[in-house]
Amino acid sequence: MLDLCCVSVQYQGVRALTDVCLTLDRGQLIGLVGPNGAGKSSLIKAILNLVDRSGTVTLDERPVTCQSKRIAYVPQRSQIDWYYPISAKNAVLTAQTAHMGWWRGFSAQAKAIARAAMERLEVWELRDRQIGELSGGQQQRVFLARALAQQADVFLLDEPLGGVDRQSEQIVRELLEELRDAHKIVVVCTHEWGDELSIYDRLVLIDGHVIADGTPETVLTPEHLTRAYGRGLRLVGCTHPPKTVDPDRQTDTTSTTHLRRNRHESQPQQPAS
Amino acid sequence: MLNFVLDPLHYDFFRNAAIVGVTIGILCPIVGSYLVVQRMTLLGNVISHAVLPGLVLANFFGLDLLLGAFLAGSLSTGLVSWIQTQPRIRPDAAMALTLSTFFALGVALSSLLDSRLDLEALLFGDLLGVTTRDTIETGVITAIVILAIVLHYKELLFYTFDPIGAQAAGLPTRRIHLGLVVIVTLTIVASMKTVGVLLVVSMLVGPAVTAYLLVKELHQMMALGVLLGVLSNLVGLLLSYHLDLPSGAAIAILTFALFVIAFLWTHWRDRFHVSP
Repeated sequence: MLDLCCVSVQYQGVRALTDVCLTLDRGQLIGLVGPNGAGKSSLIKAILNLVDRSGTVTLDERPVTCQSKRIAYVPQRSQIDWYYPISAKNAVLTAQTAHMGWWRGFSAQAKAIARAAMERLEVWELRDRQIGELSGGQQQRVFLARALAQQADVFLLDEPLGGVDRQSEQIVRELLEELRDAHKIVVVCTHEWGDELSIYDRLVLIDGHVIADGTPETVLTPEHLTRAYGRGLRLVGCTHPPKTVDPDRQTDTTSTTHLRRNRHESQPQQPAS
Repeated sequence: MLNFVLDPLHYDFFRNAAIVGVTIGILCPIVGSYLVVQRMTLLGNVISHAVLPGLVLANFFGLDLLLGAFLAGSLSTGLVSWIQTQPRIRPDAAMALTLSTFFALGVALSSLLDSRLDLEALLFGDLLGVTTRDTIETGVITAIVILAIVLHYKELLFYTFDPIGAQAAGLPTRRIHLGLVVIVTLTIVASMKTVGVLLVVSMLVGPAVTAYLLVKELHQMMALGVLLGVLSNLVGLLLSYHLDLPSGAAIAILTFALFVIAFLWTHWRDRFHVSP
């Protein structure tokens, strides 16, 4: 169980997050949603102790600061230097760095773990390519393979589906569900909308603080969305309960939740990263 | 052609210079690779200029020049980090301010203390004036630095590739950063007598960035950088001997020439060759 108690984050005198209290259980696929600047990425970084924060974050009742190996982080693609001279294989292998200890190279077991992770994400055949030579979807899968190779209990992903192709998207979604079914804690910071949100067991709507926390149907209400995104957004075609949309089967259009601005205002956009 | 290479080898000073040149040609590209991939090459410039007050003070107090240079170089990087705690000030401004201030301080101290240091040799290098002691000191520093890099290669790779990911994974990133700064400072201190503080950056950056254009992995970048570094040092020394050029300048120009060749090759390759 990952427990956040009164977590606040402040950057240069500006409060990014205020008193966030969450308990995240194993076997949950949790989506963090909210507008730009809401603090979604800040919350993930606060869990990882990458930013100065107040409050406490514990994993199984122990501070996360001494359990870094149990938490895997997939950053936004914009945070990575794609010109760095490293192959996909060695990028994934870095996940085993902390496990190996100082003054030692990577063991055969570590290499086998990295290979298995790459094969699961279907990027093993790309192993010798420099990471900048990969497509956006392939790059994202390499970093997911790195997270998988860490053999963590908690997975924190910052916009893993941003700018990826359909094939990569499908592979990533399947992996997220597998991790959930393997009783991991999976937290995804996402800008998705519509059917894509139906895979989450739980949504946390954030705008500097937690506005709503629960199942997608209880979180994505007009009242909550107005509090997060402001006036000018309204739901179109929202029905309950949402159902998982399987692209191989007939699409269930009644389960879709859409947002559309009033006609006198601009068209809705995917909140930019 | 053979006489061009063999004639200078009859002289002790040239043999010492060649040994030191090879040593620096190995050390600088390896360390410089980390500066290049982190986009921190200016830091090398800061340290190389900042050592000057340390050299002057060490000479005044009768201390080892390398110690004075190391302390001044380390202090300058600490100052840059401190200035950057003010988020409005970008790294390049912090570095430019520190570099110029320390260098000016060195010049002022040299005048005030009536220093007997050969400033020209320190600034521009005097590879052909290298002594046996210099050779040994350079060799020892090179061995220490390379051993440290080999032992911590995977941690340095992770940190320089993805510092946030490395921190998230629990690596002691502040210590790793400090270690890198120490390595860079030691490298500059070891190299400054030969190519001079003004041109040591060309040895740090030139071969590494040339290799960066041509390879896909960090260890390949280091290996090719070493080849290029040794080549430019040895050929630069020969040109310096035969054409009576300052050795540091000859090496720096040759380093850039190799970069231009690699750049043009890369440009041609990217334009006319499509990867499978």
